[in-house]
Amino acid sequence: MADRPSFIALSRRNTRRSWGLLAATVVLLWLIIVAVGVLGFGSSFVPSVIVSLVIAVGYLLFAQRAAGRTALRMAGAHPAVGDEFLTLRNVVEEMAIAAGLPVPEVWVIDDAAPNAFAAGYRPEKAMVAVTTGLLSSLSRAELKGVIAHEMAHIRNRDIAVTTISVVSVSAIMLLADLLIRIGLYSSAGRRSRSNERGATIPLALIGFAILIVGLPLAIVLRAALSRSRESLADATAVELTRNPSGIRSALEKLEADTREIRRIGAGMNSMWIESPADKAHGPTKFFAGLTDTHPPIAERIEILRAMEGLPAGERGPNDAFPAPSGPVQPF
Amino acid sequence: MISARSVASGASTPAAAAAAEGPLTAALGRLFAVAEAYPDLKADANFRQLQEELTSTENRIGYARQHYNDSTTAYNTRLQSFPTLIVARAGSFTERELFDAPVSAESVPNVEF
Repeated sequence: MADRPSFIALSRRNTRRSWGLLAATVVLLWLIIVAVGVLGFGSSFVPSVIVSLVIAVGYLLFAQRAAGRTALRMAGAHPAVGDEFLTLRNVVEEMAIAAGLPVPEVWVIDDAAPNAFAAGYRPEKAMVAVTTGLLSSLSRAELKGVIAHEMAHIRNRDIAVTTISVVSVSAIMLLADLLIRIGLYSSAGRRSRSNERGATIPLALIGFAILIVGLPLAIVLRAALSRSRESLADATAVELTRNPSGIRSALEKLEADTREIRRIGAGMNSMWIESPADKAHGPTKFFAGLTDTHPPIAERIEILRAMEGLPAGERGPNDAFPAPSGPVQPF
Repeated sequence: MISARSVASGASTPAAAAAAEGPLTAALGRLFAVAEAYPDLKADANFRQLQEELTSTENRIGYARQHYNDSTTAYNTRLQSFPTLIVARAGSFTERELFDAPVSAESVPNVEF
């Protein structure tokens, strides 16, 4: 019983890890910009760096504001009104109280595949969406686990965190693309004027270097950040419900269900409780594992099982409350 | 039941509120015990809705208490840990009391029909 991992220790570890990863992403972007400035343009590049930063920040703010609605529209969601969604609305309100947050908007997606996501860059403007498949296949306690996971994303401001890393990756991509185009376009003209700036490396070459080294690194960092936020959200879900078996048995049902949600947009992968795209390959493939936005669902289940004090491997009871002793108190 | 509620909502300290909510929860439990004897009532859609709302209300009270206790514990911990304790000493911040619910309030009234 003594070495059950507690949600507090898990939260701390994941918070530390994701701040490290976020810092690494931003530093990577900054290094690339500085390298381009020094190697490609000399100091005259500084104004363009400032311009590009302004554009990046502006895009970031816009993307965060627009992301939630866009995601809901793409998924074909409708507001959860009416008696049939009473339990869903109640569960969302309960979890909002547990998290000490305003109640988010509740949306429903008509899809048989069980899944859910949270959106909104500020807790005050947050939204939670679940599929009808999720509602029909989960019990109240399991639904509460899933909603608590989504509420955790809202409380931990994961939408803002992921947006920063997503925007960093697209900024790096844009920069590389721009350099290659400028480099290839101007190289024909420059050859005739001999080499005015002897020291500068051809821009296209820098562009290719970014594309080959920087971009994959940024993508791997982004995925690692997303995975760490997912683990953190699982830990926070346990903190809110005080019941690891709810989210654990919900994840087991999601794992067993092989249906995938029909309408997903590119870039939306990291928002779902269970990643639609990660399902496409086995969990053992190493390189694919590097770009996954979610930890393997089996691993998430194992961590939650350890919290419950259940033996690894075998299936636990669905929906059971944990034993009343130990660090986890049932509610 | 109504008198139990007015006592509970009038309480000013966490300890008094916790003590006053015991009879209220017990009264809710008795309501469900009465409903147990009427099978028609159990199957009724309105009653099921009532049941869901009461379950949710119980949960909300529990989670509000949990949120209060979690926040209070975090606050009390910061009062005693470095470096925040310096500010706490300088501003003479004092520890807050936790909301200890009586044992009777922890058992959710029976709503499984």
